[in-house]
Amino acid sequence: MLHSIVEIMTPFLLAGLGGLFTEKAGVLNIALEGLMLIGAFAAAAVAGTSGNLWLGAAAAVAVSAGFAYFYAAAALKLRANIFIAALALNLLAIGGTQIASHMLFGTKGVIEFAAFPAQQYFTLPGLSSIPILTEFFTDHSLFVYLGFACVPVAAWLLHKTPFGMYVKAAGLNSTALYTRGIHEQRIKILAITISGITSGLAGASLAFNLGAYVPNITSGRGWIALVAIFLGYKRPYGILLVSFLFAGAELVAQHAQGIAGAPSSLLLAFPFFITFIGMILFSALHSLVLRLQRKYR
Amino acid sequence: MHDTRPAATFVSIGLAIAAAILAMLIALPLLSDSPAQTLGAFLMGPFRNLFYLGNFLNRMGLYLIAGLAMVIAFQGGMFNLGGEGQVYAGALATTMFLLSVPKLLGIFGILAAVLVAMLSGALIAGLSGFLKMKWNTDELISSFLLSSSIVYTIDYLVSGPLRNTDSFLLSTPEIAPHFRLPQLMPPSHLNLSLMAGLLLVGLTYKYLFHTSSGYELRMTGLNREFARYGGIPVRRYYFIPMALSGALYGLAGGLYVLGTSFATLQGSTSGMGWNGIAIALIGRIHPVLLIPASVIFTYLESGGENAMIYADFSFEFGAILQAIVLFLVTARISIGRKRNAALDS
Repeated sequence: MLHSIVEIMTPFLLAGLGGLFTEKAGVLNIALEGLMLIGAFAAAAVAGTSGNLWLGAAAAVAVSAGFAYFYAAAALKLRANIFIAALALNLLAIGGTQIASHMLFGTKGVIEFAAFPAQQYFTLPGLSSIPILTEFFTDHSLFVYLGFACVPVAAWLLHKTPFGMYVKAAGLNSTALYTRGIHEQRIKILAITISGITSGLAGASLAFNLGAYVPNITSGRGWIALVAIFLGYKRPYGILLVSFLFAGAELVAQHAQGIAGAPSSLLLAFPFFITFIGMILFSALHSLVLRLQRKYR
Repeated sequence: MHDTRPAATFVSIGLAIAAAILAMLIALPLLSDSPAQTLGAFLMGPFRNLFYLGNFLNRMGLYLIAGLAMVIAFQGGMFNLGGEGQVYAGALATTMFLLSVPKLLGIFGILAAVLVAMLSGALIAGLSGFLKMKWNTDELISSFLLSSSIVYTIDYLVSGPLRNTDSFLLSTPEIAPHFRLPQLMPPSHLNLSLMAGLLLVGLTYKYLFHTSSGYELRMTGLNREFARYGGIPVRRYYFIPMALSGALYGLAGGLYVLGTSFATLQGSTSGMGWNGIAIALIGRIHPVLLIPASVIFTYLESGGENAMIYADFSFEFGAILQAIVLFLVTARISIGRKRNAALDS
């Protein structure tokens, strides 16, 4: 149970941590979903044809980061509306992966690769022998550990390095950046590119888990990651916790399908619905806290 | 905020459209074995005969309404990303309503169905607006999440519990002939919904620019702080633009059922929500400019779909067109949303 939750949470965690940088830089990055989808396709296509998972993961990172950079630079430099550009990227990801899938592999459906290498699973010695943490560090793919490792790294980058300060300044007070001679735009573009890198990894983890490419493989996970950023109070450890909770909810839904016989097509709605509810609960709670703070200060 | 130099933005929109056409002129022949035929189909598609022209006008009318939905949201400074679900819900609500009332109602049934469609869309989008007003829940994300869960739920309903088992299609039963809008150019689908679209352009224009509520909505959209300072009750303008936007999206879905499909088919209204955004942006978020904008967009889309017949495969052409248009068309346009102000410096 716990073991599967950890597997399910990894894409949320990876994409969420990258998205945190753009969020801190003052850009609501609704393109996570599209970036993840592009990454998953690139990962499957390259790993499936070359037979090398490392190449696949590298391709996912490169392609997703490239698209992220492209959309960020285009939107910020041309002063296009960043939400609309992100929306365009999401739509392009859906249509574009379809076209690429047809042109490269002759199908718009599921692509199965004979040469797709099996993923290796690792157990971390030491950490896995701590009773509560056993399931977190036993028999997982590298992506899981990468996700865990990214949490302190993201916290360190954001809070302890000049780069992190610049990112936060870009979101809070761009004049401060300007007076230090730093281009706000460049920081924002960099932050969005980071989200492209981690979304690419998240996509690759999805494709490698399946060992195939399935159309719309992300099915809303990018949006879940985006909401996890908010619900995690825009903190890396918060995102870790929320990703875990969402993954738990998804697992429960999958089990409900098996036990109660809920139709699988209805299950597609579930991630969106649960994130919607989560978002409402969070904002209600948050505004309550704000009200109490004002009252008793 | 809004660019004050109309000439510059018209140039940029013109460039965007030219680039979209150019991209397709390059891409379509590449995807096809007979480039000349493909190009011909793309350019002449909608005007080949009255059937195609009728369908073109019909689709344009529906897109006009979807575009108006986004015009009102954008003018009020709100992002309604839930159009897809709101249109679909409007369609299903209309269908189910008309399947359950007696046929004798006739025209009154149609009018009531129109209200049901608008109400269902307004409730869905209004919920996001209400949550924004009440708890500051980001309407952009919440409207998208709610809409997506609705889309998948309706997909399920139409293919399962509500499915017409006599049909091979994933579809609900058809509504009674008494409830169908009169067809103007059979066998094409052109019907009264085009007139409804044009009428709504006028009504929306009137509302936005000649009523005090419309004025308040626009002022709130331009600058919420300034509007509040001027005594406008800005909080309710989180809700109003969203609810109106949802009502129009729902109406587009309802009219599609009443005049074109007569049932809710799985995925039949898919794309209309995104197209509304694209068209509203081409039309500079102005109701009257939506008319040329919807002509251009519909022309590109139906031309592309026609060309697909000659290409050796078909794909989500609409998604690509939306992406191209959205990428290019907003360059230098910004919509009243706070995060954006920083980007415009």
